[in-house]
Amino acid sequence: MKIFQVILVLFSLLFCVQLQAQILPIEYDTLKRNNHEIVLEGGVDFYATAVQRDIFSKFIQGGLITSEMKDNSFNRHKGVNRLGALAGGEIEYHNFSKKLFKKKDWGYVIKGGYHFFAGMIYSQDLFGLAFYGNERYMGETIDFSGTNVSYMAFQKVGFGMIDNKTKSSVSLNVYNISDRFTANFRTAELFQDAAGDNLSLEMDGEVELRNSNNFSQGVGLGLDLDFKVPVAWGKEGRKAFLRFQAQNVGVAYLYEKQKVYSFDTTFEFNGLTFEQVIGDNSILSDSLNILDTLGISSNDRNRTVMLPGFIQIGKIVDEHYDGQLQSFFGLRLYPSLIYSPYVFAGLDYHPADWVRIGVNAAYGGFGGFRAGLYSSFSFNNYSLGLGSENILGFFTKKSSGQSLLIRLRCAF
Amino acid sequence: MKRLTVLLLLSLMAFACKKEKTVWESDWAAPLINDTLSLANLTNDSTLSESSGFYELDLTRTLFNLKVSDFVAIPDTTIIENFVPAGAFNVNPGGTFSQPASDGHVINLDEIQLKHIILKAGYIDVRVENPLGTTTVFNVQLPGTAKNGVPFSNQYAAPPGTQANPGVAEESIDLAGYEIDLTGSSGGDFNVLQSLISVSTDVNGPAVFVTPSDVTKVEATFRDVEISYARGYFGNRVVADTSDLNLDVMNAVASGMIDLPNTSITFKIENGIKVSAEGTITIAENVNNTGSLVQLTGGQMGSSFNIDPATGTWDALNPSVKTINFNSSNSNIEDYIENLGAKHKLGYKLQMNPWGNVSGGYDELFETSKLRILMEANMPLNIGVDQLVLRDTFDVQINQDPDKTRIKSGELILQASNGFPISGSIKLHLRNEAGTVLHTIAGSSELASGLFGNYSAEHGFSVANSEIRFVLSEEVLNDINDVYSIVVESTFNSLDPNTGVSAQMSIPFGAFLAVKLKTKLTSENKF
Repeated sequence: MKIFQVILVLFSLLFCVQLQAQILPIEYDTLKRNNHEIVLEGGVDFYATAVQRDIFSKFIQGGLITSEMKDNSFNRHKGVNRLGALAGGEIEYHNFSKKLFKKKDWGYVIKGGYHFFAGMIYSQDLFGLAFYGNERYMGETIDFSGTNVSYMAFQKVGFGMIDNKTKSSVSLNVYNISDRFTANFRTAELFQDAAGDNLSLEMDGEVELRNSNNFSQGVGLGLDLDFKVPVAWGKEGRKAFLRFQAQNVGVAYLYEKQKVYSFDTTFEFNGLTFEQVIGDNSILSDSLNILDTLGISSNDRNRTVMLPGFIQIGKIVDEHYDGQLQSFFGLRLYPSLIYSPYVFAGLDYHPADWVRIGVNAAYGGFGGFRAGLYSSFSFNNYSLGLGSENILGFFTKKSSGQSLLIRLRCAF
Repeated sequence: MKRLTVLLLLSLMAFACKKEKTVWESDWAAPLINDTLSLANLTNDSTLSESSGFYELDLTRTLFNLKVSDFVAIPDTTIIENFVPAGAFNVNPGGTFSQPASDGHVINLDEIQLKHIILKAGYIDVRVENPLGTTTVFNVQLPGTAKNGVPFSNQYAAPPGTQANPGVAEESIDLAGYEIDLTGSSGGDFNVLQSLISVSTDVNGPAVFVTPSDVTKVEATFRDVEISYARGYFGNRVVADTSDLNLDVMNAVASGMIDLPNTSITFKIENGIKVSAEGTITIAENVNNTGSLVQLTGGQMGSSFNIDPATGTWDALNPSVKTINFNSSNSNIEDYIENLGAKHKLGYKLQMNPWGNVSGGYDELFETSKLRILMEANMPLNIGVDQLVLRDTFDVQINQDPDKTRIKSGELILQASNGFPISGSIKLHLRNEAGTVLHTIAGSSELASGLFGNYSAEHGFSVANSEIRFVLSEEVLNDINDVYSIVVESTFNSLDPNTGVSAQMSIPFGAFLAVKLKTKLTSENKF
């Protein structure tokens, strides 16, 4: 049951979402209207290769997951499936009036934020086990080998430099790791005979989770990089801007010991004897250590781990471009097998000075193909961007997730 | 700015939905119990044997077993001898200043008059005290006490001392194997232990002046004495006892009848002591779970009977055996057994030498002498049960939070293969803390008697397969937190396949009941 609990907890965690900032497109904005700027951005983006939005929604809004919902998602599963959620929020303060190191173009940036990364690779059988139970697998082997789960929640504060002209920036961040969970099942098979008389469980892997309720489990150090590079684009000497971005790239040391469960075991069970149930040596009258019975050992360890940061390279939208239509595209990479390389491309439409509208398509990450939509509005010293990288999630329950991103910028 | 405010409010409204629990159901199945019951599991010795392919009951039990020490026990006895000089005088080295004291010490054995004993174990702790200024030698002899023909004789040298602080010597001697003649110096007494003790000074020591105040002292304590042989008159003591015997398993019987074949029980009284006795079985009664009491009557219940003395010698002792039989024609033995008593009371009374010392003081017992009462019963294991109801109660405490993941419904599935000629129906009564039945869950079908199944060449008798389902409805599981105990009530019958009427049925040798208990549960998962 421990495995099932882990899986169910994971599914739950994936839907306890906050805000996260990954709005598309990133605009190239060199306007320096004032000496100060505050940028608030955040969002939530959860999606999967197979699990449909109607199930995701139930984990967010609550309610009954019906058999139909389970069937629809179950039938979309393949051998290897992904699901995950990115969420978080950041606030940045940009000061262009102070000149760092006496360089006239170098201001400084102070930032703080909260981030959440959760994802898993799993088999169709694991989804079936979690949502249907084991009864439908009588006479079969439930194979959830290769299941890989990663979850981390962390907070950061950072300080760095920002270029007044290009708004390229670099900041050094200190992180607090508030929660973490990983699971890796190299082999995990549960066999049941057709009569339901025998269970056989074979497992090889590890599970790591926090061992205390302390808010701070560890500290980390990392970098945010944001470089915008002009490149020749098209005819007539036109320029475009490529953006090289790295966010939360670093390592953390967990000074709170983590509980590490290791197992390489085969467990057979076909029922207890009467003596075990009601005899003098009844296991019910003794303290039963289920972990020992299952051959699972545990110990407490400090860990050094990579932060779930990402690297993104792509062409961004240039606010100074005179035309009404321009493209953007790029590639996003997380250092995790759970998150496959994420490619995106889109078109930006600029019908008036105060508004931009765009569409984009993307593939990869925790899911497959997705279509996005965004709009941004500018009012004097304010601008507001709203977008979704999965616009179908707002219209059909058969979509594979939902995404809502917001960015607010204020210059003064 | 106004448009921005509207947009922000709309965004907040989109996230302002209240989250309720996420709920889904899943179905689980797992084995719980897998075991096989046979009569071999229920007996721990050779109670059951085979006769023509069927079980036969062989009940031979020792009810009482009285050992030698239960009849003759030698209490711890201390002999104290003080030696007072007759006047004031000088004693030269090696001089004896106290005349040898010969004495007989009576061991208190009440009415038992022992003349001769052999000790299996025991010790004598000797302590001597010397107030003189030179070493004194105590010569202790126990006339009539010998081992392998060598009389007991020991010397103890006590170091110099004073009247206030005498010199002391102590020694413990193992008495195992010693024979003791308790007839005294005259040879006509009994229970008398003789001693002969003298005191002299050290031949290598100085001369000393003694006065009547210089009292030397010998203290000899016999302790932990066990005898392997005793001869004498053992008195006409009465040994009586009543024992309670609880058969807790019988408490499960709630009602119904059990029918056994013609039964007889034999009590055997084995007397390994060479003494006459008179015995009485004073009481045999049992009370069943419903409070019904049956006393065994008839036969020689309550009547005294004579028990002859054993014959032979220590190496060829022949106990006398008195046999008392209770059968269907001379007693109510069937009623007694079929009452299925859970609490039994058995009593006896034995009186030795009921006619006095007719042996002339020649009662004898040996190390191997025992007085035993055995019960023997031998009968075919033909049992007829008619609506026999067994109840057993198991305490349980299950807590399900309706706001968390819980078992919503399900069923327990009992799959059984039964080789016994007994059918049964099973009910589960779920009771609250006050013992009130909240729900009764009846099995979907009966546990079929083996006689109604198919012949199994593998086992050599008929085996019937059954599947009984106990449905755990939502109503039951909604009340599960209030359940404090589960009463399993089973009603058994031994139906004759030909008549459909309960009858005595022979239990085939090797009969078994194979049980698999499985669960199918629907969980309501809430997060």
